Amino acid sequence: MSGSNNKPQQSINLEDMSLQQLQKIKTQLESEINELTTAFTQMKQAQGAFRECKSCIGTLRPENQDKTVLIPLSNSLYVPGKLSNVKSVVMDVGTGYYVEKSTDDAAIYYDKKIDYVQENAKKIQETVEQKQASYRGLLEIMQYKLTQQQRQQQQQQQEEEGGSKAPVATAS
Amino acid sequence: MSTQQREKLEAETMAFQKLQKEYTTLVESRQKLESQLHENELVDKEFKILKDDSRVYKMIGPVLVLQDKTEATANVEKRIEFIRDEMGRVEKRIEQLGKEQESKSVEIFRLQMDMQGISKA
Repeated sequence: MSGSNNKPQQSINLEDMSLQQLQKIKTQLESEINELTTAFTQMKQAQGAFRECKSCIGTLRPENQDKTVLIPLSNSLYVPGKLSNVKSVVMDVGTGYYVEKSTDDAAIYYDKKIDYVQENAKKIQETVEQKQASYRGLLEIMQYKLTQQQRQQQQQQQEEEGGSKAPVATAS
Repeated sequence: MSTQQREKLEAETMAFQKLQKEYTTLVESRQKLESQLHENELVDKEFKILKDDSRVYKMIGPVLVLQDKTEATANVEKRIEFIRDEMGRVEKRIEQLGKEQESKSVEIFRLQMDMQGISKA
């Protein structure tokens, strides 16, 4: 098996490493991939939340002015109210600050946020794919070394058993 | 293997582990600071493109309190500066710890070699 799966960007030559070292790298890659996948899922969720906010703004149309709405006071307690302001919204911009914006500006804000998260999610996805490719290459090399090791052990066993035969220099 | 050497090795190893723990904690706090910085920078950007007549609220407990836009901007900018300073300090300490860790591990290695050298003789 050639080392064709050694990614060119790796600065360490995996083939030169012992099985133990490869095992360590394998565990490290596994945890990295897991972390990145979790981050990716969180990004997608955040994106969903922003899209939801944006569509909520869509309900604030001039024709809905003064319509009755139910305001939640708790999860199971509501009060009826009237939609008096369909022109502006107060939105969370981070670190505990809320800003009042017109519905159009708010929609733009959410659009920007959605795009921003989308870009980050894409970057994470690319990194995950890279790491998974390295991981697969690593597994192949480990498998190869393992078979090599087993073959060596078998050879040694056979030579020990066939002790009456002419001694063959064992590769040490 | 002299007991003295063994004790020294143990002491150095424990010191090394302590360094490692501090290092991990620092790296964690640096990451936290980085994400706080990022969030504050986003807010700062948002304030900058805000029209001057837009209202800014701050969430204090369960209440949204009206803030003066210039005051809020100044607040956020001060916070950003503070976080940057804090990050600089943490990064310097991280660098320092890295060097200490390295010299400790060299020391430990030397002790181990010494001990093996004596036991072989």
